[in-house]
Amino acid sequence: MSNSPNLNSARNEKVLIVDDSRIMRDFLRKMLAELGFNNFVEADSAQDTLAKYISEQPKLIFLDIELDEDDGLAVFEQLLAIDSQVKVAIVSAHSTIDNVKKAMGLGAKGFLVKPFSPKKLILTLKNMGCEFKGI
Amino acid sequence: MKLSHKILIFVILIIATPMVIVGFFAYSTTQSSIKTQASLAIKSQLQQQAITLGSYLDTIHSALSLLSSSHIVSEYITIKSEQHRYAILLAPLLEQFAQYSDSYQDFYEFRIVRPDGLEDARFSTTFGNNKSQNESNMLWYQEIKQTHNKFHFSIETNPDTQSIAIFAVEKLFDSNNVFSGYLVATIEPSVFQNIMDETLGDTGIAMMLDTDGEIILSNKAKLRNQFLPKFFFEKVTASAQSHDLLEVHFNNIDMVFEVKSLPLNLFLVSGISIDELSKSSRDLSIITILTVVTMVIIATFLTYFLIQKTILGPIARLDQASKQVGDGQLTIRLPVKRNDEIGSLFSSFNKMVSSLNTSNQSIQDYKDHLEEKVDSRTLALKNANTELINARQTAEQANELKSRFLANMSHEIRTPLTAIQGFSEHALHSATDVKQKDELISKVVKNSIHLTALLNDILDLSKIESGKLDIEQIDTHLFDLIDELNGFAEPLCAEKSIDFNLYCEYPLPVKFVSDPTRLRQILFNLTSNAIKFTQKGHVTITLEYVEKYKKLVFQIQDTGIGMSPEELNKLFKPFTQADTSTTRHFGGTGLGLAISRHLAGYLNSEISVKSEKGIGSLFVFSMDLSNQDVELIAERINISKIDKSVSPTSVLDLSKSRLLIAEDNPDNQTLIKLILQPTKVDYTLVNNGSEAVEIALSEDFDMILMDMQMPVMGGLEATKMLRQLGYDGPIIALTANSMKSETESYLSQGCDACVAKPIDTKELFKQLQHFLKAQAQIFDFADFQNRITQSEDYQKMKNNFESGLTNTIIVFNQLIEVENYQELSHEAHKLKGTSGNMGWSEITELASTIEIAANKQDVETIKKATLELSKVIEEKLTRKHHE
Repeated sequence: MSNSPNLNSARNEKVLIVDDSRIMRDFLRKMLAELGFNNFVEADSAQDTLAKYISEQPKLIFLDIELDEDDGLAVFEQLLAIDSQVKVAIVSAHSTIDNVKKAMGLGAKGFLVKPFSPKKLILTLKNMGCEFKGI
Repeated sequence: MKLSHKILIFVILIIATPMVIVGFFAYSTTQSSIKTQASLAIKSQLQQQAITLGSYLDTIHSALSLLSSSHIVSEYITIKSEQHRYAILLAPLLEQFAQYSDSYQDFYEFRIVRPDGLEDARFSTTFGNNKSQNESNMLWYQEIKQTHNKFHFSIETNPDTQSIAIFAVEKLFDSNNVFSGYLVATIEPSVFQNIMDETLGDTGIAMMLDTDGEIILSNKAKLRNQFLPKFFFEKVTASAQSHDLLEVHFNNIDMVFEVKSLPLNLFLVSGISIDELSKSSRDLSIITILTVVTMVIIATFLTYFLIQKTILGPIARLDQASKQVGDGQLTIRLPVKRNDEIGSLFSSFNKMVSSLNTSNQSIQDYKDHLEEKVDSRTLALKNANTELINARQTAEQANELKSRFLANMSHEIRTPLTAIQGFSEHALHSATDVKQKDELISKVVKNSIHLTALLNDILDLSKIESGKLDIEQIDTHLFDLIDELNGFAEPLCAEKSIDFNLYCEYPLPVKFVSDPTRLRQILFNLTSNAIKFTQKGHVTITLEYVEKYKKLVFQIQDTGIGMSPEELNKLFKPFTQADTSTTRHFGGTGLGLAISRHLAGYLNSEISVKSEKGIGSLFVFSMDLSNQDVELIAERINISKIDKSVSPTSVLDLSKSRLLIAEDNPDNQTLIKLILQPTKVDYTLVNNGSEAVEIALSEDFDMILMDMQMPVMGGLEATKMLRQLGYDGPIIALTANSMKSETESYLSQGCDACVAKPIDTKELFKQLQHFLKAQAQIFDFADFQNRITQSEDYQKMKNNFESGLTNTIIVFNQLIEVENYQELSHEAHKLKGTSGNMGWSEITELASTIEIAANKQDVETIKKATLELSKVIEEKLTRKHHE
């Protein structure tokens, strides 16, 4: 059997990617698409995130902790206020232990540190409840 | 004053007083009513007498008037001539008189008397002689002469009969109305006398008075013709008007009189003595008083009797019973016959006494047993005291022994440490050639091993003592154990040039349930002791299974120095036998046998010993397998081999693996580095759990070695965090705490295995090999990465990124110029975040430096790093263009 399991099997879970850098959004979307996801929503600010969350009802959220103007953890708290079961993975250029602790305290399902490897992304997705055959 | 007296007085007051008052009232009422009745009786009597007398007098008067006015009488007196009268009219007159006399029986004599008092005519029913013709000396004659009344009435003695007679006299007038004499009727006074005699009682007096107060008639003969005392008569006349009763002392008697007027100015007086009058009333009063007194006495005594019977009696009974109870007679019971308050009281009293009796009995019982108890307690106390003294002595001994042991141990620990330190320093500074160095270092290793063994033994002993020793119950393979024992003992014996024999006497069990580790510990200890104390000869181990007792028996025999009986006695005692001279000479901790015996106890087995000084010792370790089924074999079939696959010397190639090591102690870090060096593994060292989490999140590792005791964040907390965030690689706990419960707790909280400190290289390698092999790539991430990086999209993204880089440098420089460090920090952060994933990881670090420096406004670093950044970018871009 090939070491590359069939990752292209379609995944319909809608994913909300929140990042103020377009390149990062594109990159994350590219990687997720490679893993079979095909339903994306993007946002680059706190307000945008909340609006998209309400209108699009995404299943998974990748939330950049350092948005241009806003604090990603505050956005996380607002999302939790809407749905306490929301599945959020924090994305950050820093893995400072304080942020990690805060994110975990809020119930983050993952903490991706930029730049992140496909392995980290897959582990995070698994922790968010996505299953991958053979992994 | 007793209650009964009080009640008596009370009853008398309440009952007798009103009765006396009522009695007195009744008495006085009776008295007065009797008087009234008496007076009424007298009055009515008198009235009757008066009426009778009056009517009688009226009858006489009218009879006489009728006679005087009769034709014959008128004619008779009108004829003045004596002869004429006598001749013609005397006969008819007497005839007339006779007729009247027939009609009025009481009238026994009629006469006509001349005004001068001489009798003129006479008719008498009696035959007595007429003694005197002249009536002028008669009382009636003298009295009528002095009155103007036509009729007169007199009572006097008739001289003819010498007896009392009533003389009724009517003046006679002739036809010319000239006074011409008297018509005199002599009347038997029996009617009057009869009336007079009708008096009340024995003392009664009846009197007829004339206007002068002379007593004309009386029932008392002696009173007749006497005059009433003047005061009495005055009272009589007054009373005749007022009709009041008269109380007069008369005839020497206190009397009551009633007066009645009669015709012809007569008075009728009737009386009775007060004594007699009140006699009946006195009788009644006496009866009344007697009745009252009797009633009072009866009522009082009846009431008293009732109270006595219903209340005082029971109270006295209760009092007596209480006194008896007070005197200790608790069997007393009161009869409960009544259904009232007293009955209830008695019943309560009985209940009280019976409960008193019960408690008294229990007190008595208690008293009876008290002495016994005191005795037994005293004995128990004495025993306890003895035990206490013993315990204290034991404790003191133990304490002393422990102190001594601690001193010994301290010395024991110090000894190898001194050697380690000394040899190491010597090896570092003084040793000249490699051979000498190796020699010194091998001594260091030997001492270290000894120190570890010592510490392990101490730890074991303390675990045994505190009952925290964990004993496993798993399948134990006998022949594995034999092989290990062989492998352990043979080289040691060979070293000392003594023979080692191991005899198996079949049949033997293949396997049984026990704790192989502890079993090995015991057997190794006994064997190493035998070898240790044997300088020449042999050490022989004989192994057999005694079917009869179901016992597996190991006999370890040596030809060593042996022991004296005294030494044998102290052999298994942990703190007593640590004879420093022995340990110094023969090595070992001196705790091995004590530990072995304890362990044997845990393994359902025992150790016994026989020894002779100078000849040798025989240790017998026998294990009871009677509680399990064992399969016996007649000979050994399959010789299993000791796993020699992993050894420090065999090279483990881990060059493709990335390892994260979290360990705070620099020496341990160095040691781990040294151990890992031959494996060529790629490792990263961090100093605490927090750093481990940070780096594990941002980089990929195949395995994490996590020390459990670290500052800032411990290994367990870090492990839990990583597991929560989805980290699924193996984490091996490094721990100095080898307690089974701790180990289990680490395993249950996210660790995959535990490696004890000090690190056993063999064990660590075993774990590394095991987990890294399991971790063998099931998913080719590199392939996945390649697919992404080689995709058109990615290339486009990358080109965009690269074309923006030059601009980024310009922006950085502008921001530096305007000193907008906040924005600079932000931009640098973005660059740091994206560059890595865009294949520009060489600038990630620089971007990070700029970000940090910008936050600190460290201008020098910013400028330096920015310059470096622009250089790197320029170089790489130029190189790319050339390609």
